[in-house]
Amino acid sequence: MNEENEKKVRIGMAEMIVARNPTIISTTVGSCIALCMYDSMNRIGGMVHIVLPKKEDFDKGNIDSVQRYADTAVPALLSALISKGAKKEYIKAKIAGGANMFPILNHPILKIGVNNANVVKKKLADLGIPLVAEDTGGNRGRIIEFEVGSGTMKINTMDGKERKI
Amino acid sequence: MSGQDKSEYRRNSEMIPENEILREIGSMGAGHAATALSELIQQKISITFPEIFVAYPEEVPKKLGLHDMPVVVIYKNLQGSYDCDILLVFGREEADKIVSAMIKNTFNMEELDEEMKKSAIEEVGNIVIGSFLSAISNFTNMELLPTPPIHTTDVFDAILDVFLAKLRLQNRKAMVFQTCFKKNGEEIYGAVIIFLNEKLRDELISRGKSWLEG
Repeated sequence: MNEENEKKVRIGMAEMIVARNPTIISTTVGSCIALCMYDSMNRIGGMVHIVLPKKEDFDKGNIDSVQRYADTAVPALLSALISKGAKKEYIKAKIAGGANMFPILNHPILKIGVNNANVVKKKLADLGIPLVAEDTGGNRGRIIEFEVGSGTMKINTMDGKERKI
Repeated sequence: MSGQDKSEYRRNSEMIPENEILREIGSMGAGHAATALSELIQQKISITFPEIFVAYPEEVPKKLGLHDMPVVVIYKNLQGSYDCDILLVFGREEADKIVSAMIKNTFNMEELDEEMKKSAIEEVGNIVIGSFLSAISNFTNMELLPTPPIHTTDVFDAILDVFLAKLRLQNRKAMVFQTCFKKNGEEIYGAVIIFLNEKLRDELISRGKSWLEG
């Protein structure tokens, strides 16, 4: 990767970006999911920051962005990648996030992390996109950097641990 | 703003800005909290709010200079129809300072284990958040029963995630009171963040208006 040309972009909640190599996409998630998909043959990848599990359960008026919800964000990222030149047969997915930040509490919304991860996985399976790696659950936030060319996700947690998937 | 400035508001505006009602709740809350903390440690602590603002929750970490930073959060929630989340947030260094300010007279910081630090900061959270709730309660004449304090340390943006997921459902904004604790000239900064639901917010504003106009 040519460091000088490398671009860094950050996405926030319910945002999505597709970029060509060399680009690093970063975000921070707690109960949210960072879903990354990439086609390493065509050196293109993207990330979407998913907040809630199913759109129909939360967005009754159907007015909100598809990127906020797991069941609609997965096909949205897939279409965006294909429209930018990725080939579906090469596309792989990785996910990170879905933590329970307040494990002691019993409020259903605070357990949303697990539901988010489950809905993403189900939707990937439905669409035939292989989930090749994941770092989900637990009760720590994750700072994520995704290299679109290689598909590597670098994950940092506040306990000082860094891992790559 | 204090009670004696009420006439100023009557003169200046028909619509009393939401921020001014918040400021009033903040100043009541700060007064209660400062008294309770001072009594607890037998030394004078004062609390001021250098800045109060209303913002979309996702903007809060940047506005407080705590974007992707490790923070200590103490959290309490009001359940039921007046659902409300209140957080007291300290950057990690400020959290150590407030713990030290709380217990310096009794222990050396070196003697403290993590459990003791945790319970000291939870107590600060309990008092400060509890004082805000009493202020809201006084304003609205409602009895508000919060959950016990919960304490967590993590990246600020990640902690907010879960509140954002919840808030998204109601399109709520965050009310942020940047908070300065002063003891013996030392200043320690934190923030109180309140996510009111619409029902409680409307109640506060309507009671606040009649209080200010009364």
